[in-house]
Amino acid sequence: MKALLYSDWASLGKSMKSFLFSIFMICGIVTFVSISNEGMDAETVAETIQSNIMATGSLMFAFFSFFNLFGQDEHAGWESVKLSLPVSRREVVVGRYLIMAIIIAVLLVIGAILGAAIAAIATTVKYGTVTIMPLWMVAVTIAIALSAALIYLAIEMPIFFKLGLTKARLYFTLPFFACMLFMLKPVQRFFEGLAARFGTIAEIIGNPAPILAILLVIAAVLYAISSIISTRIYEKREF
Amino acid sequence: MTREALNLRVDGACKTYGDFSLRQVSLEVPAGTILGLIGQNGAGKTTLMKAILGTINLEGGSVELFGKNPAELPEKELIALKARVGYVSAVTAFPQLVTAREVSRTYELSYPGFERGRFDEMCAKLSFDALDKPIKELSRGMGMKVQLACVLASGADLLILDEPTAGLDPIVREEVLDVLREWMEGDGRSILISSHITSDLEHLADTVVLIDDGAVLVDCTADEIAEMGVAHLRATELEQLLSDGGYAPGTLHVLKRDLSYAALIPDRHAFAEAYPEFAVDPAGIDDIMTLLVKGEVR
Repeated sequence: MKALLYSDWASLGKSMKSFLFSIFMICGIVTFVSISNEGMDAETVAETIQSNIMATGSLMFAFFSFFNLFGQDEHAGWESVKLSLPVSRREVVVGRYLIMAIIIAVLLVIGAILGAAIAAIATTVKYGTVTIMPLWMVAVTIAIALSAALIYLAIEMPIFFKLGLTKARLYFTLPFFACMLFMLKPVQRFFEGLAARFGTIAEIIGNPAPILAILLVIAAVLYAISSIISTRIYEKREF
Repeated sequence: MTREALNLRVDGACKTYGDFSLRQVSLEVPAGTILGLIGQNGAGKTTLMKAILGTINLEGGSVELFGKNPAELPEKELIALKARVGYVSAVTAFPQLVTAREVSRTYELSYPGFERGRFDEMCAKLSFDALDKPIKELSRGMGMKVQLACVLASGADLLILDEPTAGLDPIVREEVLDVLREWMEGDGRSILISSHITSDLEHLADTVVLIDDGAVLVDCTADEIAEMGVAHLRATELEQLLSDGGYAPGTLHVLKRDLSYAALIPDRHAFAEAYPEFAVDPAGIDDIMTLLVKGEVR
């Protein structure tokens, strides 16, 4: 397992340049758009910058890493060679789930620090005061982004382990299409109701942490179930 | 041969892919021997290697590594068994952006018997010094050297080598063959090697297995190959040979050439004694393969 994690990590390390470039672009665009909007106060600018860098920047690179790793498995037959090493197929699957979870968590933390730093600089320059998102809002953003990413991967990974990148590419947009269901009024009403209920519960408790914890636990459980399904699928796959 | 002394045993392996079938393939690789696998492109060599490595599932038959069937082992034992097998792919099948040094680290982390000093020694022997170059920048020969250095240092006792010398220049080929010969000096080691360059196998293999159209056509030792010959016969000489009854009908493989016939002779010394007036040369693996695959059975 260590070997697989090392190999994936070493490969992704080589993509650091593109990560830095994309995060630089996202930071630049988000900061420019936020500070050039005269209708925004310092708090809103900080929130916009930090949440976008955390959620969009970090998750975008996490998905890039996901495709990168599955792509290199197929390239030149690395998957066959990898399976000839003293590793089990279960380890290959669990290793990939682990590395993706680590990447997302690390990127969200980097995004949180970077976002706070940029928000502080931008608000100081524009408003003359250091303004950043409250820590609890950063935690909420991280928890929601992490849960969303884990749920997305929990759906996608079994498809990729079954078909490999080339064939599974056709299906990677499925969760995005699923999001289009939100355009339907009944779906919108359902989720608005759900959000309102959660809001009420959070108000009663006086703190959103328990709800976020439940969300994270649900995402983690789905992610774990997905890894079991992927292992079963992958054990039957031929190369 | 006891099963424990066999590093690899394939028994009646069957697998169908569309219109291709691996049909009842059996072979044995005892400890201390090299088995050369030959056959045309698409004959089933790589499919057989995949079955041995467990990357495809057999529909019939079985594979045993060191006396154990990998398909029946629990995970821990399977991993321990796989640590005794090193595989070299026909292409440099590593992630393209990582360096050769990082590939070696991957092997070091996965093979408990990996020796760093041995890896460095192998790199020196194979004149490989591009450890910090990304895999995508390595030539085929360089990539093959990385793969070989990794598996030779891995502590494996059985090497599965898929066309390790294809596309290499003669000097590198000779280096690779020397390194393999030297590796074989260790106790209980063995190699299964496929190659199109049959001259490599003539100098290396103890046993040669010819696969054609998914089935084993011939399985013979180096001594048996050394005994074989190719008789160059005129039409009348061929008729005489067939009518003499020295070879039972259906046992002689004959190929028509421009002005003569070539016949595969199992024992060229006995043949030369029986037919001193007929021309017979020692048969190389290429001759054997050509006559068995393309020849007509008479």
